[in-house]
Amino acid sequence: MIDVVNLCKTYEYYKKDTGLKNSFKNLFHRKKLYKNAVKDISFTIEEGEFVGFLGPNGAGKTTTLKMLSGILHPTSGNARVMGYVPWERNNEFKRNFSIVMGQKNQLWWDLPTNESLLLNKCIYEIDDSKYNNTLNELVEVLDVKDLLKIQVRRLSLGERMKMEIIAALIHRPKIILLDEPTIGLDLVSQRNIREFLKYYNTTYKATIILTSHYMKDIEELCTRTIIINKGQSVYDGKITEINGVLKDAKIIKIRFSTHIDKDVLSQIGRIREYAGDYVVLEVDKTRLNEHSKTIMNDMPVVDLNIEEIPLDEAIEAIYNNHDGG
Amino acid sequence: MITQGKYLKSFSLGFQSSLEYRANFIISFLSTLFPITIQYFLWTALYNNSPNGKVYGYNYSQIIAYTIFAAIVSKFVSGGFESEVNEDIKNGGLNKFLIKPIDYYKYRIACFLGQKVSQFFIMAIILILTIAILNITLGYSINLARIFIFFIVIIISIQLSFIFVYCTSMAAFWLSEAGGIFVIGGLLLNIISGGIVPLEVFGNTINHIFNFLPFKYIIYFPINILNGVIVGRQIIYGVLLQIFWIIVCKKFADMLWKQGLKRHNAVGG
Repeated sequence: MIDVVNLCKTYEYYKKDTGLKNSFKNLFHRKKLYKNAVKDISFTIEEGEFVGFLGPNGAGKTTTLKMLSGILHPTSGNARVMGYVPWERNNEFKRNFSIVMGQKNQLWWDLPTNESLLLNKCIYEIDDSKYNNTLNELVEVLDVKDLLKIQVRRLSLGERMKMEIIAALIHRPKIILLDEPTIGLDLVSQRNIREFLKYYNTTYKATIILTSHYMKDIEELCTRTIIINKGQSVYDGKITEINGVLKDAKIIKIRFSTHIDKDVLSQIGRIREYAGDYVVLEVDKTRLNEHSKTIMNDMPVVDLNIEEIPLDEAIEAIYNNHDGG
Repeated sequence: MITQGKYLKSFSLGFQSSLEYRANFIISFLSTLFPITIQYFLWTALYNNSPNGKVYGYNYSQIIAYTIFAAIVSKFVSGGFESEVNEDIKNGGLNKFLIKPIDYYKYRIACFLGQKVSQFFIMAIILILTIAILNITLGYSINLARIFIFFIVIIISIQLSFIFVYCTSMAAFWLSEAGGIFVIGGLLLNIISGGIVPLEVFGNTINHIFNFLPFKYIIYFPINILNGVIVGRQIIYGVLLQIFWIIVCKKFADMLWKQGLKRHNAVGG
């Protein structure tokens, strides 16, 4: 469905030091600088996949999405989406894809949503019955039936995001790109949107790429995650398997009935947290069995939990790993 | 061109938004009263000292009519969408058009013409009232055929005007702050279209140059049809030239759009 080969994007930009003098200097001579926003990204996405793009700010996620939607031309490399080169902006391509940007609105600000939707209906040449069916279904699932006639500017952020999503899906696109659709939303709205996206993906087998900074979005929705850092893809796989790639460690949280010495514990594993009768240890996965037996047998344990390393940490470690190398 | 559903809808959206802002449009007509008054005194003084009652080939009632008509027509043909285009280009609003199967130029002109529908009727009423008043006070001659032709020609004029404003607004692709260009461009376009004084004021040499340029066909040409200065075959030539210029300028606009997009594609929204 989506094929990306060695995609690169380099931006030109200028730097200016503070002050009036430097402003004048910049009038006559500006030093051109280049930023490799995306460098050499390749991946393939199959029909119906729900893929998450994860990465710190400025990693190149949005730039990649913009190239896939045809807004930007790449500096080099190739991409095919449904067999089309996105930046050739073929109408047939446009009719089958959609992009939602959490920070940009596509709806007409001064008009009620249904007016914008009608314009979209005309733009995508959707016939009446199909339009009505889709619209009814979407407003039903997102629970915004009563809000269609309200000026977009008067809607709350969460309501507006739902409307944006309706506007983006009214032509039933096969491919949907979502750039931070849950940004700035409260927990309930975030969950609503997540549930809706899940429903839409499973019901219509739509191929979806999602970027988000909220781990929950990625964890709950994406069957596959591509981590991008500094314009490069540094991980591609299931998010739950990310620990395995990183390091073979587990976390043991133990509560004791009495105070246990730090030295004793540090022989078992790395101490992450220590409070006398409570400790968080990071231990080697291969020796987990042996270690837990030792603890259970030799120490006054009240409570013991074995956990995976938190995802956030694993991801952060991947970012940092990459920074170093 | 707006027979396609999507552009018809854009036309209707433009019409709807102009209804929201109709008061604004009427007030902007009232604002022209001040320059008209000043010009009235100027021209009256000039004609009082003119031996044959004619200045630049216009009689007194014609020149007063020109002054008032020019102010009204200027308001009608003015753009008003340049800052929207500017916003679209600067803040990524253009992206929502690029990813949809819609042509930005066609969308803009459909929206623009939609906005002008209500303004057209307001303009027509004010214009006809003015003609009636001028007829009573200054003996300005009324000719229904001329009024009819004027209303047809002005519809072509407004499309020419649209293209110029559209081309100017393309400056936003290259300049980080295009607001100044819009103000100067709008003013200059108004002057050389004949939106303030008749173009004869600028002398023979400059008028020869104007004859080769498209600008006079926006304001000067339709007003002087109404005024009876341009008659007969000249009207047909003028209309043909209007159409010729629309085609040429559209090509130019397409070129600017293509170059601008190239830049946009590189920089992003």
